[in-house]
Amino acid sequence: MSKDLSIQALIFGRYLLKKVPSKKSQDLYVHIIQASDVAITAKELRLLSFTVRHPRLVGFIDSGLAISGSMSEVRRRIYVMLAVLECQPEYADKFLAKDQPWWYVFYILYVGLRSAIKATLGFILVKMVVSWP
Amino acid sequence: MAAQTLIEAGKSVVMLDVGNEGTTAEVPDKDFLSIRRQEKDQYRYFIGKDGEGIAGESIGKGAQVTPPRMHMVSHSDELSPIRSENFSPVQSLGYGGLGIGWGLQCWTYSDSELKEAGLNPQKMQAAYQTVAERIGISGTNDEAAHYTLGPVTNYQPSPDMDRNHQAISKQYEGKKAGLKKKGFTLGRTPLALLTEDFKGRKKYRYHDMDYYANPGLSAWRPWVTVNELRRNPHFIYIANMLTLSFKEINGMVEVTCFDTVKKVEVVHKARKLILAASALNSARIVLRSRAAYDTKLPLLCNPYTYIPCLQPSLFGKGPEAHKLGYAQLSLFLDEDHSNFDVSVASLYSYQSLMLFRIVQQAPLNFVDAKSIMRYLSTGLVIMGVHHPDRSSAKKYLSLTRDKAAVTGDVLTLEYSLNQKEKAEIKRRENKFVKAMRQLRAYPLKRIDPGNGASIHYAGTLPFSSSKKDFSLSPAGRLHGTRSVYVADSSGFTYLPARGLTFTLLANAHLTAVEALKHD
Repeated sequence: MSKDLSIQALIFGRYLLKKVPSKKSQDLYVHIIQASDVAITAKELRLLSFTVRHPRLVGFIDSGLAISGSMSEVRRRIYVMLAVLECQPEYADKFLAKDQPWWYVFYILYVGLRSAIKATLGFILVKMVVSWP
Repeated sequence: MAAQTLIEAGKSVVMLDVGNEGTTAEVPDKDFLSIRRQEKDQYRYFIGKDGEGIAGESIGKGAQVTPPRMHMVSHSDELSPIRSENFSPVQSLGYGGLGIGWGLQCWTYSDSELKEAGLNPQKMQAAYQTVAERIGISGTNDEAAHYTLGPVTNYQPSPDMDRNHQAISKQYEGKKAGLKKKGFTLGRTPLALLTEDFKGRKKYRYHDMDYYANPGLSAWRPWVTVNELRRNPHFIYIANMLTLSFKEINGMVEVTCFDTVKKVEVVHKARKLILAASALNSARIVLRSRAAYDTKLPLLCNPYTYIPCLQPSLFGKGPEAHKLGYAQLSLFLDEDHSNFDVSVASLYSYQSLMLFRIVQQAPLNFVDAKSIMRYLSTGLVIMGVHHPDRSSAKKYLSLTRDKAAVTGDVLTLEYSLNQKEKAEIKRRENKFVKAMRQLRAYPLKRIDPGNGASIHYAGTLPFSSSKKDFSLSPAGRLHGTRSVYVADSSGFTYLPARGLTFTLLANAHLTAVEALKHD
């Protein structure tokens, strides 16, 4: 159980930071998920297992779940990792606001567009994974 | 506040309280940005040791109940159970009650609002002064002062505004005439926050850790006064006591409590009882004491909506060191300039509640949402809009027997607005939205956090000059009793939109004064 959660911490942390998260972040993720003791449905478990087996698709799964309505357990766990990372001093400057040049707004628009495309593809992917026999 | 009045009059006071305590002691005395960059254990207060602050409420409802403040709501579901399908109140058994998470806004009600609420304007004006002298408040004598400070003259200067509020204030200066024609006035929000040292407490240092700690006790909260009172030999504080009921016997009041640690009932005796358990729980105690199960009592609660707004001129800025988490500006809608039935919007900038809370609000993957929100967050202002409330047949509470509950009963709440009230709220909020656009803060959407989210409750035992059951005399005495007083907002017969806390404190002082008169 703890080993599975450590793998999730690594995958979600790498997805959010684009690098391997610190050991402390991973341990804290494991502790919080264990402490929260949320029951997980068969569908959610299937989605979680798929995400762990295909870490490169985490972004699509996350995007698809973001527009699917209520927060799924997979998305909740990614969210927990996000909050954990934000509270680590070594990553503070990745989360704190930063002075940006005026043209940065175009980058933000690009990110929004990219996110919409990912959400469309992710939505289809999530539907396929949860309905797969 | 009532206890302080009694102690100052030389009386002996016993305070019965559950008094759950928190863990603010572990928050270092540093500013937010230094903590974020230096403190390896910051997760303990930002998200909680077990992540209890992560699954928190949305920004406008309960986000201020951060891990160091979670004792405010702990055990209330178990010990003060409620049942409702359309009203979701926040209750507290914490040390200092709902004041633990209070936004410090110190509004006075206008004379016409006081009268409508069943309060004596003349006495209340003096009581506001007394409370301001005791707790220390800051404010500004600006053009909104008749909505904010009213008769209060003893206050310190307001804290400096952060850049979000400076930008709004600057826009207002240029558009004031047009906005005033539409009934709007913008002014500094009076706060129970020190900007100068006061009675051993230190002035505010702009640490922007307002949701997590209270360094130097610059913010007044009820527990600050209780701590002071506990140093007085005539004051006894008894914790872990959930007041269940009372009865008057042979000139004394017997108060039955549930000891939350030993799990037994305990009886305390006093010459007088002053209830100040909040409008919901004082009513609960009175109903239980009279065994008045299924009796309906009225309920008032300010309708509340929050509206995130964006200030494009502040997008993509760096973090702000000189920041504060409290409301700094408030916008009043008073279309007939009567200072009655006013709606009020308080404005909050965003930083110390962390990025993860707003990232969650976006229907995007977390990586992209983080990039976008990080860019937008410096231009984010949350507008919390409150509206006045009046009683109606669709707003009430009652106590119902329930063997499964620790206390053997559960408070049942029913609250819904009629079509006319809903239409009026929508009309006013449309005006607020337009006004904010004029101030170059562009509203994103209106978010209704549900009935009860304002955490402003009142009117359950309304003031009445006739001796009706379940009502209070103008002096705050419960009709049908000789020496039981209610010193919270239970008596209010109308609930103005301006936050009730300061008025509640003034009324508590007056109730104690009245109790002393009838000694």
